[in-house]
Amino acid sequence: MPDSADKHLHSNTQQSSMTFRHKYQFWLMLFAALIILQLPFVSIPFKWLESYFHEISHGLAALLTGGSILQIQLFPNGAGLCTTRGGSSFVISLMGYGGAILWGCLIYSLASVNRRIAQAFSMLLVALFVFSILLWVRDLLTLFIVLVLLALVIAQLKYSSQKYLQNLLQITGLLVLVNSLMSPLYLLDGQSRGDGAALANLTYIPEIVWVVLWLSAGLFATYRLSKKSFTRSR
Amino acid sequence: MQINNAANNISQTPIVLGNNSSVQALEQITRVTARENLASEENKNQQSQADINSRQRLDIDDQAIALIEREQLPSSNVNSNRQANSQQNNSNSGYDAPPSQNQLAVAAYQSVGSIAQRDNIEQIFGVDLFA
Repeated sequence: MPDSADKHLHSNTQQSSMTFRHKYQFWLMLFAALIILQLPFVSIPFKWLESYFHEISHGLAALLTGGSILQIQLFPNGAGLCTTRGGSSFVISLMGYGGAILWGCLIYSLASVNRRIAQAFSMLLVALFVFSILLWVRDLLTLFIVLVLLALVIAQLKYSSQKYLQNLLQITGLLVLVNSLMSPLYLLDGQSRGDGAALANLTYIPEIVWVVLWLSAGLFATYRLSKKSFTRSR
Repeated sequence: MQINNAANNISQTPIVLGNNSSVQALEQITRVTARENLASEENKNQQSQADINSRQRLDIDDQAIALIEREQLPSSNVNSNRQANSQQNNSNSGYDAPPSQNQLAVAAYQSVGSIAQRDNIEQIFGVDLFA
């Protein structure tokens, strides 16, 4: 009799810890993402990843508005440059930070659906990296950075079991999201450079407004994901 | 199709109007000649303005090229110093090799800090750069 009571208590404790983990999974992962971004060397590839999604968003916006991508460049310090011709300058400028936020949400959301979708999305990312290398990467440094990112996704696909692939992709999505939340703040350096300044020149709306807009969009996206994650756990 | 310009009108008017209106026709000729002179002067002015503009455009080009060269100079100096250590006669042959348009645009873009200068470079190379 005491044995069965112990077992019952043990299973109850396990169940409650499972519920806690599921309930607060999003916030635990977000916390993990914040910690990873503080680590000196580990954070570097994830900064490159956010930078890649930022630049590819500029490029895709150019393609969608009738322009073309000439070159994508990534730099080791997390900076990037997308050279385009044609298209809507407003949409292209807006979609740098906006696109990175969308990519972060997309990666997290699709990874949360089920394992098969997480796997399919990882393959799609691999295809996107290969496509970028073939079409838009023109220098060795960018080639190296994109190859590192490609290796990161392939390693996630190959070496993590199906069970952990979802979690790893979710953390990757949150890393991109957190990075894209913090990146617009670098624009507040008083130097009038970057996408905020470009939009300010185009629209006569001050740079700070655009920075606040991106920041709000990022915070709103984080809030929506947390709500969705909480609903799913119930 | 006949183009109805001032010159055509003058050649026809004396015949149509006869001797009584010859004074008027003369006046008209004088007026038209004056107008033509004025127009040619205006054309000259426009041409000279265009020349000035193109010269300014050329100045911007020169500035951009100078900027790029200034940016490339330190690295080429380093290269040539390295080469001099191993082989003194071997000059930096790669320096004069023309880089592609995009590389030039990016190099020029990165070499200047101000938005106004960056805008100039974007106009010269005809591309948009998003950081």
